[in-house]
Amino acid sequence: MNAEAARPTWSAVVVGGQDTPRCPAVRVARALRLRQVEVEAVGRPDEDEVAAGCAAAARRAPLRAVVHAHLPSGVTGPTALVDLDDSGWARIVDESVLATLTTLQAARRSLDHGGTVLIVVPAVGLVGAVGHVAMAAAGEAQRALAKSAARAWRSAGISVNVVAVDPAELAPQGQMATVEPTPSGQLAGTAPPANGTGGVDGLADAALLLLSADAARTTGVTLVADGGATMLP
Amino acid sequence: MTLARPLAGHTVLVTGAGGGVGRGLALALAGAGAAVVVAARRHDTGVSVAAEIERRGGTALPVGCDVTDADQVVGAVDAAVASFGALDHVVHNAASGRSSVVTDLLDVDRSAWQDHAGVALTALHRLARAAWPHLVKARGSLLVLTSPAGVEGSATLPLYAAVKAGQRGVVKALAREWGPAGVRVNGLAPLAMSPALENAYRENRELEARLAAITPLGRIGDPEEDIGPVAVFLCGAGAQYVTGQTIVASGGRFTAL
Repeated sequence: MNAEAARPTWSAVVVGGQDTPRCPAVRVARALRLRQVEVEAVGRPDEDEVAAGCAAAARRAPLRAVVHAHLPSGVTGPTALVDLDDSGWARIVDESVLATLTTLQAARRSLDHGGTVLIVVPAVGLVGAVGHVAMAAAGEAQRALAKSAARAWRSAGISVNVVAVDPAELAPQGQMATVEPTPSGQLAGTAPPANGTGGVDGLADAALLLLSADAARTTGVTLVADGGATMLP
Repeated sequence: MTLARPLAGHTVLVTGAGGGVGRGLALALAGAGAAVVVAARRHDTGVSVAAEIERRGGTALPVGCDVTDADQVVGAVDAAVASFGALDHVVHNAASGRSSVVTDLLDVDRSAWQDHAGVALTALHRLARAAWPHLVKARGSLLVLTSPAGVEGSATLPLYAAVKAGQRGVVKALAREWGPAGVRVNGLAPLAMSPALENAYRENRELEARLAAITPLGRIGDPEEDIGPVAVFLCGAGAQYVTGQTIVASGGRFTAL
């Protein structure tokens, strides 16, 4: 193998839990590494940790992207809104949004020469889902933050985009199941791949597309990668 | 109920009703025949709106309600039911006093988020929980005052945009959740005069003309005359098959929704 050809030309930071191979952050990181991108994994959306991760990545190759694929801790199975107490609401909504805000801010401060920020959110906010009102609120708030950042940072050469996925992909295995019928009447929520290797991984594919050089001038968009369960007008 | 008074016999709780859009909604809903619970953080402003409703021949109850206080939210709902025997509709209009304060996304912190989210989202959650048993009984509705900023994002009002977007997520999901019980949930995104916009006009005399020029209908909406009727429609029988939607009343300013 030609060592020159194999050397990474750019780096990325992926923020999110690394507990299992199914974690969104693990899958995105794996997909990037397979394409010769230098990846620094940051387990928590802590501003100092993300900044340190960005610095570490930049030492190995020019930093070009930060991916936020964080799993909120409060996500469980479907819960009726009236049965969700204040702390449950805060764990899902406030934690998700604040985590996204932290990554956005740290990324902005680290992407000195432009780049891309990618936020992974649940798709439930786009059309709603029974039992997931809080997650819908969180997802839509995160998407609006991404769009706001896209508008504000356009002149700095930083694009901000979103990948919206089936909520089952954002919870530890066994804790989530999408049972809400889609608008077309079909049951939503194809099971994500067991470990993201082989097979189809819509999240990873969508992430690679939006992180590619071809998408450098694309900003403020949401790419829905949930196997076709959600199709917007 | 008549065509002229489609909400006769209904009870509506309006938060943030002491001024601006909330005041306009309260007046319009009362004009449509509803008994209106005028919930306002500053009780004196709610008293003033309720007095105006009564002066016009309507029925109103002013209630001091800081929506960031869980007990006051429950208290407002209880006051509605105690006074009028039922609660048919809740209109959540209250917003953070910092909604129109220009902010750099890099400068916002947890307290800034809580300031916005406490009024727009956490309060909405509490309001929904408190009102639920009454709305089910009435087969009523929940109406959330959101904003086009929630769809488009905003470089200058990022947290306002985020909470307004979050409200739209609630509208869609809760509409699906409450639909089987006959309770509708909708959003209303207005472009209307408000105290904040009036302040902005005073600081920038060209702003009013500039906004009017980019609004197809050539003016900013009046809370009572332009936004109120939409709220009346969404609460009334005319919208009995409408749920999970956000209706934009912006004079055509925002069409990407």
